[in-house]
Amino acid sequence: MVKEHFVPVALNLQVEADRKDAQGEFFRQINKAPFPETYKVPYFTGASGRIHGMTASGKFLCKHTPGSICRDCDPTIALEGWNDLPASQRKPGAVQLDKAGKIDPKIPRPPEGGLILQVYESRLAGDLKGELRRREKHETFSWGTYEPGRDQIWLSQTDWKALLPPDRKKGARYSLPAGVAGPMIARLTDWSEANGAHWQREHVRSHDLTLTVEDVSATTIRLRLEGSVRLAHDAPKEAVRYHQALRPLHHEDPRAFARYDAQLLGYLSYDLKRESFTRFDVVALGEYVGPLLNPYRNEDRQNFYLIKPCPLGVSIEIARPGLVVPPASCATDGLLKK
Amino acid sequence: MFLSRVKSAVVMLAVVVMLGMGLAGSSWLALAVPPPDRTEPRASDAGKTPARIPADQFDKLRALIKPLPGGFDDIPWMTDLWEARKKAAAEGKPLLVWVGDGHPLGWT
Repeated sequence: MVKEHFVPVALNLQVEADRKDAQGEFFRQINKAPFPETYKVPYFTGASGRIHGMTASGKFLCKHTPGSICRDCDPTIALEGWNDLPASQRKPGAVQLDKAGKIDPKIPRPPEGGLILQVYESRLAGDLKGELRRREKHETFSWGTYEPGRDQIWLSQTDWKALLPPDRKKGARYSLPAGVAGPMIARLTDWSEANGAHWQREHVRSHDLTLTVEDVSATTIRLRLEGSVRLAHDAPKEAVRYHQALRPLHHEDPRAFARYDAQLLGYLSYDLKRESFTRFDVVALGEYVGPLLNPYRNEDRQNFYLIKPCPLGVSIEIARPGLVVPPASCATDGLLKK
Repeated sequence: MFLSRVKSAVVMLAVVVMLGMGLAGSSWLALAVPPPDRTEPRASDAGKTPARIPADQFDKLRALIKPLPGGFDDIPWMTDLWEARKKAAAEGKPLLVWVGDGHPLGWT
């Protein structure tokens, strides 16, 4: 129903509410009204997010949603509200928008001619040396169904072009360029329902990632990426105390620290006529230990929150067109650069 | 007598200066040595290094990691409100706006 009847858009409240441009002005204007009126809170608020039906001019379509515990707007009710509007307000072209104007320069934009990669991170259940499976609903730290973490990598044109083989012969091997390896290694973490381990350059204990030319034709270059990455924070100097309430979920090693030992495998295809990558499928798999809520210590500097060792899988692929989400770890994209 | 006292004073001064330089040098050296706060993980601390990923397991592993089909990733969410409003106006459709404290489709 959503695909057929709506234009869906997903936004970050922190960005939209603060941006200094026409889009920010519009968002702040529409988000002044409370929903529902008795709750006295704006339509869009809160960490868990809100979904609302709205016209292009900014008129909300749900005034209330009976029975909805999340105070969201049920799309079926939004559609009823839409159909209740006069046809003159619903017809194509009925709403005329001004030009967007100058975009706030602080809004992150993908590099011109760059390559956007989509990243998914999942803590898996099972054994690395045995059978792995998706986590069940009850195998989460919260009340919801387990969802993979999501992030993006924005490669500049210079960085993705460096992936092309210097020697276009089948079997040629060369190192994964640092401009690609760095952002990829930074994403080998777990944002699924936890504050992932932040990897800095000094945490990269070793990495050996190579590309091999699998095939070269008149139209395509096919590459295989493989290798390993070993990441680790420094071991703590003092024994770790765990949060009592979370103890059963956590690693009992009193000298635990964040780490990830991963193997990577991937397949890339480059279209010589389109001069672009048409496939960039990479997976990483290994044992992971990382922070759950806070990066190691909270305010009393006593309690660690570490997830016990578990298999972590990371999948990287070309993002679908139009899916542009600012990466979480922009600052660590220079991970292997001096 | 006077000269010998002067010589003794010069020698003492030289000793004091050299000692001082030495102490200062020690301090400088101590600062130059990296503090022992970076502990390389011991081999026993390192996680189990997995075997290489078999090529025939690649697709299965990707499917395990990625979101299940049929979820919200299957909806073609736009990520620019202005562009979405333009599209909605041109097509005569309402918007479905999902706003999170942190991007719903990314790092939150």
